[in-house]
Amino acid sequence: MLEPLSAPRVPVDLAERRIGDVEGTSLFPVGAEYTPPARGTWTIAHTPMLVPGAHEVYVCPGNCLRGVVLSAAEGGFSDRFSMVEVGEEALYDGSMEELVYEGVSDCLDRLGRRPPCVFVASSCIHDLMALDVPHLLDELAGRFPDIDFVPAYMNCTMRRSKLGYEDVQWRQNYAVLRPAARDRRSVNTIGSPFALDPGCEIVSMLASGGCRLRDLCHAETYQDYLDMATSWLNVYHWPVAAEAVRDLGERLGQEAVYLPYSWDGEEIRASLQALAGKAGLGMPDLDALEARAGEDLGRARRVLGSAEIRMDAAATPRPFGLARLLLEHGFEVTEVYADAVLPGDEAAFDWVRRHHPDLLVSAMVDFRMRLRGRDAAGRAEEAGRELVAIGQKAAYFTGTGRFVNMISNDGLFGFTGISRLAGMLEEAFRDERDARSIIQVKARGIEDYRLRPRDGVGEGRR
Amino acid sequence: MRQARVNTPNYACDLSGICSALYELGGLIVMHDASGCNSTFATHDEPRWYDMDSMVYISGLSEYDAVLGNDDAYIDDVVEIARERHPRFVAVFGSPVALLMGTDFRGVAHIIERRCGIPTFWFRTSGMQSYVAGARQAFAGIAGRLCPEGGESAPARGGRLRVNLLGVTPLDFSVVGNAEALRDFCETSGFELVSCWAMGDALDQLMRAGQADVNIVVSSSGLDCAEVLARKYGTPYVVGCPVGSAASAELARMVSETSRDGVARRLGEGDAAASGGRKITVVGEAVFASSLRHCLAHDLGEGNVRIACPLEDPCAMLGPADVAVRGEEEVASIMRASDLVIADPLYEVLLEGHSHVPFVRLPHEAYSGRMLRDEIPRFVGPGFEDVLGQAL
Repeated sequence: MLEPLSAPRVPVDLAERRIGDVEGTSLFPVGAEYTPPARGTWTIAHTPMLVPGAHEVYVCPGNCLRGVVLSAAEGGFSDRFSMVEVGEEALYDGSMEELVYEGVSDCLDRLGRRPPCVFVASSCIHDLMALDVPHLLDELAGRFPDIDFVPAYMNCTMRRSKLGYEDVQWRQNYAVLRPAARDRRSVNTIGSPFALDPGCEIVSMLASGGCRLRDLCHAETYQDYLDMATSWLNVYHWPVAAEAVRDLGERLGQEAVYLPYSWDGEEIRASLQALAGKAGLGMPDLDALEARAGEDLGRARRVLGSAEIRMDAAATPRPFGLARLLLEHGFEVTEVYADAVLPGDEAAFDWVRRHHPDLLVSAMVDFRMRLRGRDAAGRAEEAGRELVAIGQKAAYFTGTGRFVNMISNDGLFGFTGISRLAGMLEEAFRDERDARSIIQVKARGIEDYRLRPRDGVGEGRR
Repeated sequence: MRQARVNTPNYACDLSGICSALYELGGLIVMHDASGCNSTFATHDEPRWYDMDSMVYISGLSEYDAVLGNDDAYIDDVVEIARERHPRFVAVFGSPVALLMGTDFRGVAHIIERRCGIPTFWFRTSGMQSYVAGARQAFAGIAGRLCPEGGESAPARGGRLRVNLLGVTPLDFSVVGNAEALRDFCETSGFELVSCWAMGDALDQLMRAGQADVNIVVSSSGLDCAEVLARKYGTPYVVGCPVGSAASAELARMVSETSRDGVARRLGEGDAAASGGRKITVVGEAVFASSLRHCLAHDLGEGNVRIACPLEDPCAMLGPADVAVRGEEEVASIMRASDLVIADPLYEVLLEGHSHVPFVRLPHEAYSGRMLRDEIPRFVGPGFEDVLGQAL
């Protein structure tokens, strides 16, 4: 029998709380923010790069541009990125429309090739000025009729709005898709920079049913992307994709089913049953898959022993669901880093609160996080145990090199996803890595995509 | 259109310049913005972010507060942090959105200072000026407000000349040993370093700046501070960076001379491009580029050097043959008309199709950010001419 941790820890500041002391699901007040140097999440500059051959033109003030243009340089897609720098005078002298139109035109004229699709990104100031960006893009489409222009919005002030800018960017990522003949054997997965795990239940069910799963992450050509319009059904897995799915339903009449990135067996079964019912598919042997997931978690538990586990909400949209799963399988989960409880994670949050009231919840961006000690892994080691983090932010805040480098669920789904996670935990425990060099890289995984313009995609719309 | 860029990035902006200048001074710095400005600074412009804690935050401005022009949450949050953390000072300034909202930072600073009793600075920023504009304000603000009137008259050790180094930030010097090399320069030149603005010295050290006999402005960011200190204490200044042996020796000589006659001097004032020899173009910040030109001319015998400066030149370092460039195409045309170019590697793309023009890679943190930091050399002090000579 493995020993539990000796004593519950006490919150060190107001950005850390015993989960048992939390009323409702409101964790921390919103206020001035710190940004931890864990950069693996994708940004709105990276997401459009999934559209093969697409080019981005950012029309923004210099400070906004610098972040995205260097993201492009670091990510290896500078040749798919241009920018128009907005000066102060454009805010006041009525020249903004001309700046956007002429600036974007100039970029395209100088590009030396004709991309099939151009995302034109405006920023907060344009929204506040009520700039009619869609109209400007119509004008640009008149000048460049072979290019699909798509408005994009780098409006950070929308971050806390009902519709966040990431939600909007995912919607815009599919904005070019036009009504097409419907293929009942074609299904899309929508709204993730990480391809759905090819070994997961969704993929195998669709394959068994003779259906093709279209994933933007796998699109090789612009035509592959356009062909997503032929699918009759969209599946999506986290709330950020909901706006894109709504829009596709409204514009193209595509149906949708929500198959959340869940760590709960019952919810996984219900989701897959919903998919099977919707698409007329057979069900896999879920009992066997669940049993295997349990075995895999058990093995991981034995390997990790009394290792402390902490996780963050950037690793998975259901961190409390994951905490519950691991706690139920005997892992020593001690802390969850999350600024809020996201939709769909409330029930798991409540379960953890009732059954493990001493577990700590910590903010990620609260100003106090800047000055809090980040030596938990060292202290754990002094006490004779290890600390394993799930997520880059948890790795940074604890100072551990033993971490699962997971972002936004990494495309893991279902019982197979749980099995995969168990393996990743074992790997993280065994192989200590240099977190510092890994987690500061923006948009983890973007290097795996073919980002450079390719033959056949630089000659306009087909 | 000069605002359009297809191939190259832009320089770090004013908000980053302020944050970089104030980073080590124990202040509370809160940018009024939603998110992106802080992320850009922390990711690309601030190499100390991972290891050195500093209270640099973003206000988290929301869409509704932006539309309604509501600054109350910003003020309340800053006051809350100040009361909890007791910073040495508070600095408030804003992003392009705050500019458009018309946020009254003077008023905001006044309210914060009244409510928490901590000196509070406000700065004019737009997110559309360069880091030089931001850092200039920040250093000048600290000197003007926090350095005591009249200075102190502690005797110099061993009768050595006392100096301050002004304009030292990672944006111009990175974290690869150049800030330390500036200290070495002072030591080997026989100067006593009073304070370094602002890497490696705490605010208390900066507040002794009035003890110096001469201020050395090592980048454009330090000029306004030098002028404030000149007004406050009558301290004269010299502009220049000790890049290589000749510039180090010359700068040291100028400091001594200025300590005697009180006349401001600029390194390389007589270094206008000679007409003979290969035509070298240096792209970069004006004080560094001028100092590098001095190194090229006097250490390496390359006299035909022209500067293409994409940033402001408050120190008036540019000569008649130099160009204050605006826009990617103008830089490209100058580079292509050269026999050799020395610039940040992200400019090299402008020489595509002009392979006959050799390119010497010299990354600048304020331009390529973190991505080429490993390539940034220790350019301060004797010995750099050997590195540069090999690259030429």
